[in-house]
Amino acid sequence: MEANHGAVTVGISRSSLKLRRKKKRQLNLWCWLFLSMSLVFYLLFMGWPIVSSFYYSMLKWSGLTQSGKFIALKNYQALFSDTVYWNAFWDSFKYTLIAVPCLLVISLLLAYILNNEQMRGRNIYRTAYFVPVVTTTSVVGIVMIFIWSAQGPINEVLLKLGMAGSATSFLGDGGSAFPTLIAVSVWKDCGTYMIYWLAGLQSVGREQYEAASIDGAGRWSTFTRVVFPQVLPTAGVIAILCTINALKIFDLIKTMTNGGPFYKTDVVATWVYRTAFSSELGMPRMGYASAGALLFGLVVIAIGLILNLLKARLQKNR
Amino acid sequence: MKKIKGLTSVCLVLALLITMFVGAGALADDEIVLRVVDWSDSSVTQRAAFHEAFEKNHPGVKIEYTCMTIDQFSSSVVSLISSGDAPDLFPVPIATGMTLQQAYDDGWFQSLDDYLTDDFKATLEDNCFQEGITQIDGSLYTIPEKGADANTLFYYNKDVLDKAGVTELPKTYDDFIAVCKQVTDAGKGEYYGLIEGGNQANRLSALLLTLAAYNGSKVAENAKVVTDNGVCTFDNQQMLDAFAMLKKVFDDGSLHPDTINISAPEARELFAQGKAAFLCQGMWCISTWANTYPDLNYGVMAPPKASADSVGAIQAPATQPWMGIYSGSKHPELAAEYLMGLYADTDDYHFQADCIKIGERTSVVKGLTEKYMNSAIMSDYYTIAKEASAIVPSITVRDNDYYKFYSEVVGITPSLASILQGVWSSSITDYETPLHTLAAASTAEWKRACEAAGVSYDGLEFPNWVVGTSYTAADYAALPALN
Repeated sequence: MEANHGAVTVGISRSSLKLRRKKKRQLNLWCWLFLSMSLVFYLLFMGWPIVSSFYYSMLKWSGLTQSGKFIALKNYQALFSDTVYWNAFWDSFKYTLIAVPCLLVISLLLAYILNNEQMRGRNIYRTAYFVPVVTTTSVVGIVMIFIWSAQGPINEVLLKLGMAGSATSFLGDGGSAFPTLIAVSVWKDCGTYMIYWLAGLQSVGREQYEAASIDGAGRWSTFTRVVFPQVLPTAGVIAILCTINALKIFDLIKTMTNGGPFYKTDVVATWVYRTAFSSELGMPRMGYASAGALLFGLVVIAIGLILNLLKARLQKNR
Repeated sequence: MKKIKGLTSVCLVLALLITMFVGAGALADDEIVLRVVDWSDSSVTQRAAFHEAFEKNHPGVKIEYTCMTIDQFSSSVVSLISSGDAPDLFPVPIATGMTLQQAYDDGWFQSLDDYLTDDFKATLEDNCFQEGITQIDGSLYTIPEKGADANTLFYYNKDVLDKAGVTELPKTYDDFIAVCKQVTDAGKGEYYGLIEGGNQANRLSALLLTLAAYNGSKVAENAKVVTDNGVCTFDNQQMLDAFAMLKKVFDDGSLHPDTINISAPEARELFAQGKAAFLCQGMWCISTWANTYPDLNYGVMAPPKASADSVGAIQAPATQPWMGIYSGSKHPELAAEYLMGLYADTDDYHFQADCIKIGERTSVVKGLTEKYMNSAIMSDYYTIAKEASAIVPSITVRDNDYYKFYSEVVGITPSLASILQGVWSSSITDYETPLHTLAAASTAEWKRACEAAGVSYDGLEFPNWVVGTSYTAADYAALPALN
């Protein structure tokens, strides 16, 4: 009887296991069904172009004719001796190394200030700092060309205050073009990261601020010892997003300087665009540009993986 | 609330149905749509008038004209042709380095010979029929858009020169530097000596090649190639002189400070606003200024010479291919009628005349330029351009096989234009070393490209070319045979 009871129990647990598996399978199916649309679009508009780029990178092809000549890895080989490409390559990282810390620090500072519930009109400030984010980049670029031009308002102020002897084209001078570009870019994107930081800061409970206050901590001590350690995991995510966006920068540079003057603001994206679609002699070089883009892409992916590992470690330490 | 929602839904469904039926009606009407694409933005108004006349004379025909940028066209043309959905009429995108031969090899166009009448062909200038440019194996595939005139003359703003007390136009580099300085000093930050579209490599390159050629250097047209004594001439004395002059203008503070960061249209605009005394551009400025600055007091002159006894000529641009009929066009006869109408001079069709009158172009139709050129400034431009320029030899005219060279060759960077940008942005002070490097690397690349294309490097040399004179068919015939 006991043996029979045991068999029944095993039978029930088996059938319940089967049922659970079936339910899990059904759930999985539904998940895949809902994911399928985005997956199809991803494969069509991201996956396929990446695979195509890999193929194009092995062609000597202008992008204008129907077919190119297969040259295996010769494009990659040529890249290694292309000083203009490497200048753009390093400039992309230089831009990232300068812009990302500026963006993270300034946006965190703004977020911390604007997170103060007692501050009057903080929503107005938040909106004001976010306006450049929602403004089209090309529009910002065109406006900035005027603002920083020799006859723009910045020069006018500097000349009137006697801080400059003659008008300077900030974007046309080899020495000032890159810093000016970074300044504009930080101003433009600060709002995005400010919002991310605000989300992180709002997860810090009010009681923790109150406790710190009772313990006699000032605003700075509260920030460094209470708030910052708590938003550190969020910082990892924000840093990754910021880094990836900085490495992909294109539109602002394209409109403001087009990589010039004399490649001083040239990044990989502007180099790729110029190489793929224009040429001063001969045909454009779509295959070569694809090789340059892929090489850079692989480096960016590697950096992304490293940053992810760092983020995981930060979360583990928490 | 529910009623409103229901009523809105019914209205939306009705609207959808009406749209469907209207769509079906349009299809049933059997209207022929002729699709035309180009990037001739300086004549869109005149083109719109032509389209109106063409549609009036062809009931049931609709012209779908798109004026896009060459970048937009270049990035979509392959997919359009692959899918068989290319426009009925579109130009060869020569600014990208594409040649008619390459377009022909890829099957882009069909021959115009079956559709254009002999009477129409007889109205066109003789240079419209050039093997490798407009013809392949004797068949006509495309017609040039406009007459080929030098596009690097110097405009001067008379009001700015007057304000600075300049009474004589500069003829030499030294004069030019001095006048620019005089203007800049007088301007005190309000206006400067020279302004250019410095972020456009093609304009800077054209300026440099023009100055070098006008002072005796053997250089080809912009974006084309010839050698002198077997090497590239990008670092010869004439080029170094041109760089020295332009650097001096910059060092004197006589270059408009925004030059390096603006395009050619922006430079044209600032010149017209009286922000600079000199601007180097083409005939297209005349029509633009006539519309936007009708009171602009300006003139046109030849570029300055290195010294009074310098001998040379600006490279007269070669005839360029333009519009052709797509090989997959369903309406080639209609497309040909459109083309013939575009070049016609009748009561109904007067597109060429309209463009000449506003100074937008000279025409490739015999006698039309002289007949309709009624602008004094345009007449000056036309005369100076004819006097100061000469036809330079072309490797593809010498042998059509050299189009393979242009498919193969790769531009060396930093280019001439980039080096000048470097000088004008204080990024580099020594321009000689990069010029020597550029010339040596270009020579090596041209040799490699010749070898890869299976053509002789000797073909890039024209030993019987006398600088300052036009290279003729007889000169081509007298060239030694290539190996």
